Amino acid sequence: MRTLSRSVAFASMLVLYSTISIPSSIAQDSKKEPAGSITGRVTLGGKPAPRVTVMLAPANRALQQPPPARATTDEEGHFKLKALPAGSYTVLPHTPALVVAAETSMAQPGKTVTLGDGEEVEGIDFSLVKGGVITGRVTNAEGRPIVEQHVNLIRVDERGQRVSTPYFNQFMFSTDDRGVYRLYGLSPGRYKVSVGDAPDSGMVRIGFGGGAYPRTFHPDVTDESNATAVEVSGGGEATHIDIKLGRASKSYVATGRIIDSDTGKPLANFQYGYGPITPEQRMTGGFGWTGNRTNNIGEFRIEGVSPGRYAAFAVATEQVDFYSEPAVFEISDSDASAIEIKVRRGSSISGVAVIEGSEDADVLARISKLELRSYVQTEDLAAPAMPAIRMNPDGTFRITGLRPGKVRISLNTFGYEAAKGFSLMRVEREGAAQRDGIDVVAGENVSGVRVVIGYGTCVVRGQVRVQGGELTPDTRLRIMARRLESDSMPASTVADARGRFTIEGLLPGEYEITLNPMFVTPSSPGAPPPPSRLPNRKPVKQNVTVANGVETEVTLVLDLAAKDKDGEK
Amino acid sequence: MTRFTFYAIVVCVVVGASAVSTQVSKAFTPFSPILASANTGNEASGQRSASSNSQSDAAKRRAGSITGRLVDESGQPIPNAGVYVRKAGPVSGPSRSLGTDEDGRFRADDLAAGAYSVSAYVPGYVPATEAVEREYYRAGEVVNLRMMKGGIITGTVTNSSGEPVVGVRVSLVRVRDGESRPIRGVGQSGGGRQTDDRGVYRIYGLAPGTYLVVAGGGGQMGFSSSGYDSDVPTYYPSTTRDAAAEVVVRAGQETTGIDIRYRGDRGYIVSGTLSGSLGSDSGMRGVLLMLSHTASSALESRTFVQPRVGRGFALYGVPDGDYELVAQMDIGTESSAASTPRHVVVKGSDVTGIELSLVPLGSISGRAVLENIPEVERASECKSKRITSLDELVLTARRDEKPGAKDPPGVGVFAANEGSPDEKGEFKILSLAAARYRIEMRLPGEDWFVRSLTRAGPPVSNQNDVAAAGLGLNTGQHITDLTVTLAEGAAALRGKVIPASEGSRLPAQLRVHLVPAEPESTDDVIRFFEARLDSEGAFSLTNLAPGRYYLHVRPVSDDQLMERNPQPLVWMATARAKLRRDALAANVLIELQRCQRVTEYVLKYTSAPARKAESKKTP
Repeated sequence: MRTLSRSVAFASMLVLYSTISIPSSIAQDSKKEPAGSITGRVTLGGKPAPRVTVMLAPANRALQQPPPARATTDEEGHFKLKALPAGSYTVLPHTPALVVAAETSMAQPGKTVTLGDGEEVEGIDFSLVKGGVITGRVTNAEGRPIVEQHVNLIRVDERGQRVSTPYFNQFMFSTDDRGVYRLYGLSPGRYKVSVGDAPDSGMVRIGFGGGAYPRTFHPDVTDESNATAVEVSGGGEATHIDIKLGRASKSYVATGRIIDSDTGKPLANFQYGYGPITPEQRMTGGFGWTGNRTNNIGEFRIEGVSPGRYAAFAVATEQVDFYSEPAVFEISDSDASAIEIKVRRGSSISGVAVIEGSEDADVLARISKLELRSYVQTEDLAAPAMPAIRMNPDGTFRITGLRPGKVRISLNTFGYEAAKGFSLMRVEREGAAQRDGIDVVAGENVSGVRVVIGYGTCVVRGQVRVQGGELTPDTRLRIMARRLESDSMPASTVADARGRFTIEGLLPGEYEITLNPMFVTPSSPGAPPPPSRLPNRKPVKQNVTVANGVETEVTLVLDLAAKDKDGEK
Repeated sequence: MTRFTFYAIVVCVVVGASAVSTQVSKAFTPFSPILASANTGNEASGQRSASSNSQSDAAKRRAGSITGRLVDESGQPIPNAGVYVRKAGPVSGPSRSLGTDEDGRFRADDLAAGAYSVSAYVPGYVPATEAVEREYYRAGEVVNLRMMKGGIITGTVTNSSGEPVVGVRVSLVRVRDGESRPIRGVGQSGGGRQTDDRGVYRIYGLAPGTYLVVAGGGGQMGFSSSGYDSDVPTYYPSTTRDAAAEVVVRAGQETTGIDIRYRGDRGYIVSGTLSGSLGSDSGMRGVLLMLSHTASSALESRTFVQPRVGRGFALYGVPDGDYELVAQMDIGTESSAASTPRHVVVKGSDVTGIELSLVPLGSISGRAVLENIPEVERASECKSKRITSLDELVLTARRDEKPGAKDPPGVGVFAANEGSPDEKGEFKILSLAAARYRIEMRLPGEDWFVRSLTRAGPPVSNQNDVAAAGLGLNTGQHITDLTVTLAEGAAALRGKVIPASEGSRLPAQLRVHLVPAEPESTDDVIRFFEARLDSEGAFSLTNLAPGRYYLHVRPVSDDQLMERNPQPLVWMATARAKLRRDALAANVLIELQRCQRVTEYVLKYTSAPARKAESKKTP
């Protein structure tokens, strides 16, 4: 269906960038041009790289944000990004076919720069090497091309074990009408190439009634350990990395009804979805739905289901007053029918949210723009979480459709400017803070809950000094600011290329600032992430007191020579 | 163009993403060039079997199965392809996602009564015949889908130094179809492909026609991640849209060497704020903004704004030009809204501060009823009647425009503008912008005809006003009292047109018209019927109201020839009067009785010299 093909395009785009954060716009104040600048040099294989586009974007990427600002390198490879207001930026060369030497980073390659007002930052250099290419053709058993099939890439070490993979252009992973694919800009290394559905992907397909191809690695093996690792050199091209697919497996249909658990009556016009479950009766986290709804006798129909164990559930895209018990079903070699999804009337929590820390009418008025999320801790198999809810202008709120359990309320600060500076301080019931969540039993309507939201304009500006060695390129310095004696979520950021960081919008008070060095562990698109590696090292900690409207300076010292006793296994 | 399977992963962000996708998907329907519609031939009607509609309540809504087969141009089955069966009505997801078996066969069982469109998705393939009108199928019918390998355009994109431009999106604008008829309205033909490390692009699965090829541009639909988003698009070979060279694609053929020299000029920003009927700005609902060229209605850029994130919008990389900007949301739903088109002129600088206010879109709803048949006439009920129910009817609200009128920019272009009655006969057509509409009807089987189209209250004239003049809909208006009266006992007329003088040949593009003979029916638009001739000169007119008609054959006008889906001639009073005069002059009269099936009717065609003087307009 045409509608679906498009929905897929957009949905997967969003999924790829699943971190939505506050848009910090690059201000365009025509009266007073900001004086900040970032300069650096781009080299390719040690030589100056002229005419390379260098992009600059806010470090926190968001929807509805302008395209990156750009500069081009001169004959000597120098670039200068000018007229920048203070802020946190990502700088990276836009060279899809080249790779940043020794750079391994996640969705956002490049260097982060925290720029002060009018500051001129120099030495943001990039040394590039030519990327490698893997190309080949995907066909079926009869030699006909398999068109528009997704190609998976896994980077492996000498022993064939998966290792972290740098960021790739996500648009190059599809075969064309000849079955040909061409993956470029690959960091030199060894790769395993596959096509088809991994049995352990934990994901489901929706909107396609046809069969799935079993995952097949080059050269035509289904077992990952038997796959040939393709060696890619900088500027090199590995050709004829062909894959011949077996027959597509048949897919099946799961049908059933959604019924009201109290009355047994069928429920019409409900959306529904499904996802795989583990042997421990847990959802894997992957699920999907098409937007189809139950018919007037409550029937649902899920098509294109591959063999496996799944749970089907009712889906709510807006706040509703019910929750559904997931219905477990199994598909082996036939359709599944008579699946019954029971919908129960949920419990509710109502009360009022208040803002502390500001008397400003504009700030207080923003309460109706803030969103509360609820999460119910439960031992049972549960359907995916409900959408966030908005508070009324007077701060009152009502969360409905809750399953019984311990309900944790959180403030949704992702994705929009209006939430900047706000953080959840505590949730109270009858004057008592509910640190572990609110116990809600079946059918209960909990009222009088007070959600205290703080508003702060405190800023912590810091500098990490590294002693006793040098950080490896895949190390990132994560900084956390935890407010002492409060229930609020810690704020966090990553130090920039110069070890600088800024955390804004903090409430006044005393904070513990923690520095945790960590290795980035990205995954390649379509493949499960490799196990994460954390340096075995004690975090660096420091306490600071911050006040509204005041920037507090912090210096954190990371001594690489001072290793933990049991460090470095 | 996009991959078909959908892997949804992890938690809340995905929840939102999918919700967004619903909105966007609605918006994008016509962009997709890759889907097959069913053949417009009669193959499908071979097995109109009776369906049971007299059982228990639940089972009653089960009309049965639609089955079919998907083959390629050589008649070979296409296995493991996606087939989508969608119930007629407001835009929504498919009713069924099916897969074809090894023999290309597919089958949708247990379908509720209704009219369904059937399409297939085979990457790289296009429908063998390009359907201009959607074809509908009812339970019991067999669908033959035929796809053929699509055409290909390939080439390279390089910069002024001759170096490859890597990772730039190359997309196509289809300007004319395979029969050289212009593609009206938003002509952007899909998301395109990115160039690889050599600057090579390859776009496949193209329907025959004429295309413009463009590198960059098109707007952002999510995060901006490419380095080209603020550039003006470069049209093949290295120019602006107005000077772009056309590329012809023939069925299944590869057009190579379409090399683009990328200019990389910085474009301007068109920005502003949304206001008005945005609903509650919670959730992931989104507004689609489209900037299209004033002259051609072709889309220049688009973007997607979630009011929850912010009400500001901006389109980047816009070249100088005259545009119309519209915003719309929730198309195909009760809450649909749109802005009126805003004229935007970009000339040498950014355009900022545009305020776009969304207002709710209108709707037309009402009831379809089947006329009570007097007992006396029941005796003469048609034999071999197909048991049909009202919910198998499809109604389409179609804009009634002056010939040659430009499509309005944006608004409604993505709406299906169709409705289908429920089991009680109630229908609703959503997301309609202010305009004059005609209601077109697709009837199930051959036994029904349209008796009248009326609104409540006294008729404005002695004629049936809706049928004669259409329906004027104001901004946000909800017309709720339309009654469609159907009657049983339709007649049918099938036959052949032959040249009057032996040895001469029929001109191409002839049409057979039925003009009601009764003087009081002069303006009764629903009593006019027309059919095109097939290559053998045969025609088929069905669902005819019994009565007396003049039969008339005439060539399609040049204007109509240039339209992919020309609106019926008789909507215009002047054209209707002229047709009537010509038909009277030709004086071929026929009387059709209830349930009468006339076959093998032979009609002679004499070319009328007077016709030469007929309308000559710029195409």
